[in-house]
Amino acid sequence: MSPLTVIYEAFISLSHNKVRTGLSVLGIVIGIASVIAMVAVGEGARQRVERQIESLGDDWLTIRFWGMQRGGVNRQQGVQPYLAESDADAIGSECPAVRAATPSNTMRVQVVSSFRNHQTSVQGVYPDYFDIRRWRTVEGRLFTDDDMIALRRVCCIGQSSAAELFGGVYPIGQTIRVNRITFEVVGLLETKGTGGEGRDFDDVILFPWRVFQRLVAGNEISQTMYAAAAHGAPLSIAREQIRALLRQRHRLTKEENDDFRVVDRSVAAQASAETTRTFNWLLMTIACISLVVGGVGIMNVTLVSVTERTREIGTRMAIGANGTHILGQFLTEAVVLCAVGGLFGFLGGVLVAQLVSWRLGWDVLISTWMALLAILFSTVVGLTFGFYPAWRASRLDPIEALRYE
Amino acid sequence: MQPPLIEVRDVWKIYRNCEVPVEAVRSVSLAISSGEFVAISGASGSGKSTFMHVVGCLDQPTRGSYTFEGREITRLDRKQLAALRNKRIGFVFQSFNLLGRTTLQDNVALPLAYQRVPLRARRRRAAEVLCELGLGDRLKYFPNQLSGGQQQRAAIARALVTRPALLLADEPTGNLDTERAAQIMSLFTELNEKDKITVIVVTHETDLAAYAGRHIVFSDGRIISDETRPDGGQSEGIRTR
Repeated sequence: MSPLTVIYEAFISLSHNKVRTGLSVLGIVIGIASVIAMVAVGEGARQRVERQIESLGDDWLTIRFWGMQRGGVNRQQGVQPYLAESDADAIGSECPAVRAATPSNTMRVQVVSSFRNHQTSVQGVYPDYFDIRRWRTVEGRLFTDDDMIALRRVCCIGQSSAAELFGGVYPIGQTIRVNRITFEVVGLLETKGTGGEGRDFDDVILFPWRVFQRLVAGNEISQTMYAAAAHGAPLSIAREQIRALLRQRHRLTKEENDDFRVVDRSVAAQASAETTRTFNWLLMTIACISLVVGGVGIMNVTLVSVTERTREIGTRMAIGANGTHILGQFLTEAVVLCAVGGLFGFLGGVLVAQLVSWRLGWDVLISTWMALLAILFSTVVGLTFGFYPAWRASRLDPIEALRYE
Repeated sequence: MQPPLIEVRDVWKIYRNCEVPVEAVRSVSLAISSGEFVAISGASGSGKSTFMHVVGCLDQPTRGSYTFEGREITRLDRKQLAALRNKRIGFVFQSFNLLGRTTLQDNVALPLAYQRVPLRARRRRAAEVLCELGLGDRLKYFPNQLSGGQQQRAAIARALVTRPALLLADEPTGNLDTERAAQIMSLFTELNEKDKITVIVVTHETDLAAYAGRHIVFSDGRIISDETRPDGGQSEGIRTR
């Protein structure tokens, strides 16, 4: 029998009992729909993490003070972080694999504009920071070394802070007050989005390092430093050079552990990607279980169909069908049933994914290969769960089958 | 002389799946030539159905030899038997066994589908056979839209569509009234006379057996009578009864 005839016959026989066909296919529809929805959500999450890794940049390092430890005991509890500005300068000038380095200090303060006030992060950095973090302005300009040396009271503002402080008003040329000192906004930064921990990277105001030290923080501490690898230099080399230099500068003996940490941000992002992946696998497993339940439904209905049509099988055998023909016939029915379910399941999954992205604001991603995935999955389910009933039908004795009432 | 179409030698069929083995057919030997019209009758349980299944290649004998068109059947596997049934034997059943929700034309074309005859060719051939049997105007009808007699004629068309050497009918008139039964039996006679098809009809109604040229009676797994009418059973007197 030609494959087309077999498929045509499958459609004819499935249309016999529409309600039963519909109900048995429902399991597959739900199974495939959940698989597709999970894949769409998972893909969306994966893409978001990837974008995040990209935006974080993969050639810069964070250096944090960690405290002196010996034998697992923190010996300098309560002591303020003491990475000094000179550390940053030394990293910038003495490490060949480092392109630029900046000290940094961040505080949360109340910032006042002529319109309203807003609690936000204020951060003092070298102008090199913009290069290290690949940060540009959308309006105005970045502050420069000149601004820092001349101790000009200027700042660059993130999108979220600007929106909070000025509403819709054009921020460039506006003034803000921090600690009763007035600063001029010279640049509006491009958006960086939100971090994996729900942090808003755009809710920040950046000041020239020395201006910040004197007028905002009132101390010379650098909590954190940022450094970017030189072009073509691997991050790992830059990290080792920084570590060696800082150990030397902090006069650490061989037995002493580092009193700082050099953190590769992309590693952190990759860890978050790993978590996302694990979570996706979990969801996929649950979706697959529902698919298996659907498959058992298909097996059940195919078994019933074989029993009901025993006499038809006998007749077909008498007029010349062999076991392979009968096996093919029922297997095709199961596969057609599942493939139709897969198609509707795909549509259902897309719908659910859209609903999720609309109601929960999650990122979802739907692509054409998911339709193929749905068809593939459902076909495999059909083949798997249709095989046993079809095989039983093919092993029937023609005489017994003809006699069956 | 031509070798017989069917030659059965010392055939036994024993069912061993019961506590006591059942000897359904005991040492039956028989030859049927091409072009014969044979009626097989006997009480239920006499072994006539089992014998018919063996002759129809639906079942293998337990012992003995069976040649069909000179081929030894007992050596064939399931697949070869299916192919043989498909090409050389046409079956007609008591309850017609047409597929519902399938047009008469496609029902009749079904055996050809198993030979992978292209759709258009097999539908043409099916229409041809249905026309010959007077159902030319019912091609697109579904079985449940037809009378029993018409359904049985469609089933006969299905049996004939592959131009088989043997037409095997198991109680073909069992579900029909007397008049329709007579029509079907006449049709067999006609096919046998005109198209020289070998026809074997299994029936428990002895009066219908009178249509056939040869009448074999089974009892207790054996042939107890095998009569060939001198006039071939085709005299006017017998046919009109």
